[in-house]
Amino acid sequence: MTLRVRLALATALTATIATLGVVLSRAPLVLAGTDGIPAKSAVTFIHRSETRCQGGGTLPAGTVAIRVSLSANAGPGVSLWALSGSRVITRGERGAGWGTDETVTVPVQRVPETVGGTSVCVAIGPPAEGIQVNGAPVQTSAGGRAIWLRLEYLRPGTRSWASLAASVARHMGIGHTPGGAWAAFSAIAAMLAVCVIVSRALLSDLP
Amino acid sequence: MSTGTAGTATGAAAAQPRAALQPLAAGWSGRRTARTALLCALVASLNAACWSVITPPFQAPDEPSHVAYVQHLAETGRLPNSDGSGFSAEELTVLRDLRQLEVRWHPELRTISSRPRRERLRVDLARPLGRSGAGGAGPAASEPPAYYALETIPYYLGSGGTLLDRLELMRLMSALMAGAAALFCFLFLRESLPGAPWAWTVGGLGVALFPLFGFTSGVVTPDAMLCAISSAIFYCLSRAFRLGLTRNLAIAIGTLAAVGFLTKLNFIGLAPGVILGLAILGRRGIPAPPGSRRHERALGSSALATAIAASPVCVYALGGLIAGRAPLGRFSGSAGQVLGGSPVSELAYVWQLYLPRLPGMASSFPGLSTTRELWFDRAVGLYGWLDTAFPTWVYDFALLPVGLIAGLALNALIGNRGALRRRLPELAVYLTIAAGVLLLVGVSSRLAQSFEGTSFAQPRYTLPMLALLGAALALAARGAGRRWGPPVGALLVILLLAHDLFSQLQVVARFYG
Repeated sequence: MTLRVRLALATALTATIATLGVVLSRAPLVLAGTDGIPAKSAVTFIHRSETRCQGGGTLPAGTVAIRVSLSANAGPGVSLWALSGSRVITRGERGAGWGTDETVTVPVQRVPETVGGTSVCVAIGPPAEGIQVNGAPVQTSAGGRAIWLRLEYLRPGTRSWASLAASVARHMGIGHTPGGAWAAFSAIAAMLAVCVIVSRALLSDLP
Repeated sequence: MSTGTAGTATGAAAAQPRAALQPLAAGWSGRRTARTALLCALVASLNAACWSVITPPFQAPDEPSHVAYVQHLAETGRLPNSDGSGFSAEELTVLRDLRQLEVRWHPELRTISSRPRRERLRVDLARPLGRSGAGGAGPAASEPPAYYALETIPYYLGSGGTLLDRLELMRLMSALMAGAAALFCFLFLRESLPGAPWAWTVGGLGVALFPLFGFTSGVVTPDAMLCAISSAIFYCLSRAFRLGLTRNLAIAIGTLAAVGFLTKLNFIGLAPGVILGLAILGRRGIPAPPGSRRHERALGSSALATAIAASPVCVYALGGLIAGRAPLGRFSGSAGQVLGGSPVSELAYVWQLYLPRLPGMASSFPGLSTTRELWFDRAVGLYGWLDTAFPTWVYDFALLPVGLIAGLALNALIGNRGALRRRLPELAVYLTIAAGVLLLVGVSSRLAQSFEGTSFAQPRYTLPMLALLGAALALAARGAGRRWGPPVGALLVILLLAHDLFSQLQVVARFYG
């Protein structure tokens, strides 16, 4: 075993642990608000690219992603922008290929302050398959009827993943064998063993 | 790629056991090789076992159907009789209590946690609910029974426990199969890349830590066994290319192929490559012993292997003819439906499922870069019921290491092009296996597109080519050169370990966060 292998192993493991620390120090996205539209399954389907605009309700401060009630196995590209009057508050896009989901989450520029009475436009790229719309028919201000999407506004929560670890570990043991704390402990033990075995194998086998 | 000691192998059938124990490269005893092979197997099994704990019950593709198949087989001794959802009362109750349908495909919803739901599940698990249903097994119903028959062992072992206990035992059986797959991948590398033994460790451990493999082998699915079978076939073929197709190897390849046909219909995709391999090996014969110029033909061994491999298909087809149904059951109908279209358009669809559209082809996937957005991204990370993905930037970032790995592997291949040329027939066999798998998935996807309006692009279907992934990783390490190869190899393995860990955390966050 050479010094290079030791150094490579030490560097890679340190980088992994550091990244893990960064990830665990961040907060998960939580629901900050919605447009109030219920997500009734398969109210219509989209078979070609189109742009639809609808009322977005109140867009909460700190929003960094918007979950849109579109469903696909391999979804098309989705662009989205939110307006207050004619002013664009935020925008974002999600590349094609998402799914299999009942929703698509589009990352957007952080919304600095809460804005009421917004409208949201969703541009859907050319679909390779029918896109299922989960939303509800609404009476528009112009007197017509339209199908609106359910929009959910997501922003980082107040607690980090690290501070949530205990509750996540408890949750893992529910409806599962092994149950209770054993679920998380056995998973952690298995991966620690994997790390040790892999490191030792690399140190002994690589020249 | 080096031919290593291939040329020194005595090759005679009688000498094979001794040859198997001989070191292939300086400094690597048979004992050391065996130790590392077992370590790779242990890592793969532990990793898959971890995935089995992390993945919530029934939150993996078609797991309810696979479990229903095992349960029906174990409880009644009969195969499922329909592709409906006539599962047992026990399974239906547990699925309902776990809110399996509500959580599936809804990344915003977590698994159950409230006290009333937990209590309801606890009470239902304790009830003596019916363990046999109407015999439905959903999409698993048409699959052959080998994997499910093996899974009845842990099912019986856990018969005194709840369905969730039995499910975990069944998942652990899949995890054991992951160990077998990783072991054979390592042995494949030993046979096919004998020049640098340390690179076997890189390839073997890399495969064992590949998250898609761990996830797939951590749930109840015949893909786990198919992976082990295909890896074993890769190993036997590479060994036969080194030592010649001895009778024992022929029997091993034939038996593995027969079991493969009985494991999952997707094995049909590997068949053309295996047949080509047997034909080449039969014609090439067994290398002559030193001092002799005559090669021993191995056509008899080749025919024997083919006969053993084809036996389950022949028996099934014969049974079909006697019963008055299509000889190959559902597959005959499917093949007919695909061939019913224009061959050019069908081929264009399959091409575009993997590669960019060529001029003159009608677009089958408008707006989608299938290579990148369906295969690459999904191989990097899509877990649960294909509803658990990384943030989008991760897939962009992944292009960098994957590009580097591909570049280094290519460098190794170019640097050893002489050896590569000498081994073109062997390479052609591996590529035919890969092409067969991709073609089969493409045809299945075309059918799904026709009938369900959706494609079938799931990278887990390419896991039978796991041994080739191991080879790519080993080659990438070697491509970094004699001096930097080992540290690059260590970096690659830890990169995959990190990828695996963060994949598991993503699943934990999605279902329990």
